[in-house]
Amino acid sequence: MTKNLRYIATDNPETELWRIISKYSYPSNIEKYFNENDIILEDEKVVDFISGSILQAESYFRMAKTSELYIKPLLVYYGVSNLLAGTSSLLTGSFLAVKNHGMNLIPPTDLQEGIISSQVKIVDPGSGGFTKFHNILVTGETPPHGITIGLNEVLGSIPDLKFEFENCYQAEKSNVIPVEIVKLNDRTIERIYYEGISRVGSKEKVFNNIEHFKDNYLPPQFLEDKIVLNRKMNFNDIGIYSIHGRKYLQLSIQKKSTKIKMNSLFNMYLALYALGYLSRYNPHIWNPFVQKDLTGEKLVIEKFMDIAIRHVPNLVLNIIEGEEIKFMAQTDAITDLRNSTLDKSITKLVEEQVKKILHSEGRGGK
Amino acid sequence: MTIQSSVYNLTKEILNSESKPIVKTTINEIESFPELKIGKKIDSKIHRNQSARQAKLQFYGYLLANYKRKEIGKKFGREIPSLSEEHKEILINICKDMIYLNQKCINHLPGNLIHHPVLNLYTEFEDILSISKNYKPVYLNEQAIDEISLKFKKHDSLSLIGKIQAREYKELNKIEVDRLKYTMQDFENRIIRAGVNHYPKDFETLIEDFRKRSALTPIKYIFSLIGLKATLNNINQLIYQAFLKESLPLYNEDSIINYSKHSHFIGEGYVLKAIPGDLQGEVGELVHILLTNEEEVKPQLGRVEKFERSNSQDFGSVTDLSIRMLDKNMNQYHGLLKGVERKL
Repeated sequence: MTKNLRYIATDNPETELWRIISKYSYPSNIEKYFNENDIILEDEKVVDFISGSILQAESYFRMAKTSELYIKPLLVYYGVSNLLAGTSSLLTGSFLAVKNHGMNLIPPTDLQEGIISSQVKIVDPGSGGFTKFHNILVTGETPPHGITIGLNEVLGSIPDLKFEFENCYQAEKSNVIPVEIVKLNDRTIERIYYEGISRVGSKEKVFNNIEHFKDNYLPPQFLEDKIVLNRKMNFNDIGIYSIHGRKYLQLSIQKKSTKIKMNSLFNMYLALYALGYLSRYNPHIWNPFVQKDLTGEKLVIEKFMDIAIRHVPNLVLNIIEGEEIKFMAQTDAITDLRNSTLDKSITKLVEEQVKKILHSEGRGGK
Repeated sequence: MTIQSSVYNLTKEILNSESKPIVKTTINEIESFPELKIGKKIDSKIHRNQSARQAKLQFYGYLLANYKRKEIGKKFGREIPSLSEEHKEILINICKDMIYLNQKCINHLPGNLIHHPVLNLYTEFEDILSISKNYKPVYLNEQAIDEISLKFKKHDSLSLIGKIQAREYKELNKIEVDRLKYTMQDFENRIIRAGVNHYPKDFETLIEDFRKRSALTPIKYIFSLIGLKATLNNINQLIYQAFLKESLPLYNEDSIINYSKHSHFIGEGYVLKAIPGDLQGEVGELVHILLTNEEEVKPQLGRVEKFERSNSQDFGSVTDLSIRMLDKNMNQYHGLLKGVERKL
């Protein structure tokens, strides 16, 4: 279901974002949230748990912001884990029986292949944090279980990282397609330029790998330099959005016979776990990478850390507030031509007006 | 069973018949052109075929255009070739079959009314297309034709005409056939000009005026004949499309971008925007519409009244259509009769 959009104009999105999240570190606000959302409080201590988790999360994020890459991924991962735990309790009014991360890291075996060759196996759906948090925070999607996902697949699915990812990893496929939304007088179309799809897959087949594409879009029209998508009448937005509001279509990750569409929040959570635990338990891999990377991969990881610090709390806040909250001056990537004075539109408008004068109108309606 | 379902039965037979490939091949051969080479003149058959299609008279249009080829040729400054004898013979046979079907339906109009010819959609070449009393259809199934005729007898318009007192026939017969034909055409043109989402304002005023003068019968009569003529034209069109295509163009949630539904004095219709498909339905063609959110379970039959395709390298291609929906009598103007009845 499409959420309400709320724009918050600010010059400092992160400060503003945490100001709103911090609201839920106050017991009175937590109780108010429970009352407004008909959530039954299981135990009084849950309020303290939520408050403490959010305060700790904010501290981890603040520290991560100024720390070096040696420990930054781990700090952000801890921060996100605290935030997800606190939010899960805020949404349920109860403690969550989380015993472990629910993820196992498989570090790169050959350092030549880079950090990107790290893998994460999703395990323990009964008490693992990944699955437990996913079950509460993501509605309508089943968390993946028992599969091993590569860091390449995860980082290739992050809209804001697309440019750096494709630039650094020439052999890797990207999993996101940038989309331009064009609002016309009589319909809204979405356009995809061929250069945005070149590293994703063949233009004829790529849409087969986008979950629910056929339920929401009419067959694509392939033009000279772009693809035009018309929305179906009962369109539901299946896109994911960058921090600045550009829409992307996300490809599913193919695992043998199954296709997995990673949720944006948990996609980044998984990447943070991989990088955090790579740095924590594999310093022999991580430290040389931070000190002596010659491939430019470090730039990708640094960019990802910046994205995660900015975007993850925003995605969590959206869940708490039940809205799509954008911290920005104005959106990009939406071209609104509804009020433009195209000749044809004027002619049509005049024709309609003349008809209204000359003829009676029937009972119209969708 | 309704008129529509009886015609569907006939078209189902056509789709599986041995005559379908014969008729379809004939039209394909008539329409085919040798590949044009640079410097070579355009095949002048194109003007004849365009005229045939524009006539919107199904197979009969090809015979008519062939008959008038000299006139057409003069207009375009070209010598237009005649149809081959073989093609002509097949066209004559299928046209005779359709005339036979039409006549069987038209004969249900009371015999002491003089206006049977206004319902005859194929009026020329009576010499070559005359039907003998013992005529046996060549390509169409006779039993299916009888079934359609039987259902046509129960057409709402014929029922309304049946309610007219026989003593009023004398007055109605004072309207000359040509005059009536012109009036019916004028009414229909005004309906089409108003578009699917509107209707001519003066129709209601007209009915009101006649009602005040207690002289509604001629209006009822004319509207009934318009409905009967529309039905016959749609029957012919459905048969024509069954011979040439495998299915009707379908507009549903897999092709429609947006639509508005309209219901008024004339009937119902849709104004819709869709993406172009392989089968899309041009003006005068019949199409199916299936909108599941309208709680329809079966495709509804409609007639394309407006078709516009726009292509853009910026925004893609779309077609804008106005479609008037047919009722069970295959009449898109069914609201007219109800409108007159309401005023009575």
